[in-house]
Amino acid sequence: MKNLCEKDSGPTHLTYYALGRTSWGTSSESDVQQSSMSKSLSLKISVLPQQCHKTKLLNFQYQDRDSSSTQSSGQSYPEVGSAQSGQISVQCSNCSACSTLNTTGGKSVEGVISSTVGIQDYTFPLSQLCYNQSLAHTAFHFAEPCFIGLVAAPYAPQPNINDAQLVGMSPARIPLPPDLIEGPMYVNAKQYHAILRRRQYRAKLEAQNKLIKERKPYLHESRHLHALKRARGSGGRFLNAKKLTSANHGDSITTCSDVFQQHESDFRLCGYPSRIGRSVQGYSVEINIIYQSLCDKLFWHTSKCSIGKSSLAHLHYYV
Amino acid sequence: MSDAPASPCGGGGGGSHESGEHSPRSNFREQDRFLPIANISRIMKKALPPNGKIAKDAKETVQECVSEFISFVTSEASDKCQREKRKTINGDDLLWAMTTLGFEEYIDPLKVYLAAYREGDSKGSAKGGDASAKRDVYQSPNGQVAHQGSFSQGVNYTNS
Repeated sequence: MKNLCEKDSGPTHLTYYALGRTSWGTSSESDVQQSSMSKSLSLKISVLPQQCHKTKLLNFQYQDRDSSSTQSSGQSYPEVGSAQSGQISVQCSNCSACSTLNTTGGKSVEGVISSTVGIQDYTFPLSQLCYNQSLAHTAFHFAEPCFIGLVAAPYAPQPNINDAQLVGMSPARIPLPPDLIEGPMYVNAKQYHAILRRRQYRAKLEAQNKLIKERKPYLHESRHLHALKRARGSGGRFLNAKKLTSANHGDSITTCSDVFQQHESDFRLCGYPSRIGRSVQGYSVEINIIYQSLCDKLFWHTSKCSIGKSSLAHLHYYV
Repeated sequence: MSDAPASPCGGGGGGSHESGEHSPRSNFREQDRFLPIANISRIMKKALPPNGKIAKDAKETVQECVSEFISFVTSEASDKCQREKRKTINGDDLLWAMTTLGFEEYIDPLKVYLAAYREGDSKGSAKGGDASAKRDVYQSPNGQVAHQGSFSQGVNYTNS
């Protein structure tokens, strides 16, 4: 470290002189920038992520000054008493006036590079300059992290964001690319990229045959079969427990039709005729009629599906 | 009544009444991309007089619109989370996405709704009760999906 400092004593002096010049010039530029609100907002946004790198640069300079002579430190910063207190005070000033000092730092980096181009020790400022240029090109890209930081704060700053967006962006319309058969469609500028993203996603789903082309009448087969078995009243609506009980004691014609419908569905599904006992308890006169019709249905079904005599035995049991 | 085809059963003992087939016709399930249509119908009926009726195609159209809107806002919030290298989308991300997409008017009602939701139903407030009811309806293992769904339901609720 001592050898490096001895070699760089001359250039260090020139560096501090350049720092003084650029700081004096930047103050006028900051006055010009205060006139336009949007530019200052974007500048603050773009400058904020740079704080870490500038702090490193300042630490680097102070390390040089620690070993250098008292005269050079006196010329550059007369206010600073000792090295450590100088670092702390500069950091505090950075915190207090972020925009002014950060702009000063940016300009000072350029000054350093212009004065000391051929020296290898200042490759770090070169990388910073490249970083600064990349920041200039992608100011909008870094704008969103600043919004993220503000959103993470409590909800007080959010109305400011809304006001800034409302003032900055009028409800402009941007034409979408004509994917549809119709002509170009004009949409909200804020939603342009999101709409394109959703279109790509839907196209990807369609390529994978994952879009829902037709709707099924039901989702579950078991529930559908259960609904087919439920008792229905006039008009096709389901009967609840109370209506089912009152229907059994009501008209005999309705009871007979319900019994026949149930048995048709039961025989087609190969189920048990388990409801004969309930429905026929109160009507001894109609037992013969039901019995004969059931025998006919059994005879008809025997040809299609093999139903043994056990079902007939069940009928006898219920009768 | 559309009857199912009769299948022969061996012997007198009856087999199972229900076939129990759960195989969907297409590879992608309908309930994975759409909200339940019964809940949407219930919300639509709140805006109608008591004797009003809603056609089935109207319910299906609103179901598709609501599901697409959820995907629209969620993709914007997800894009932001990917930039920040985060994996979980929270309510504040959705509020930011609504602002970015131009729905600033909804931010104030959604903040009220989010505060009521975060208090939980232990407070006994009406909005908290609605939120817990909607959470029970979705019953999804991923809490984020239920959270997003309830958020969108909040949007529709403020609309009606």
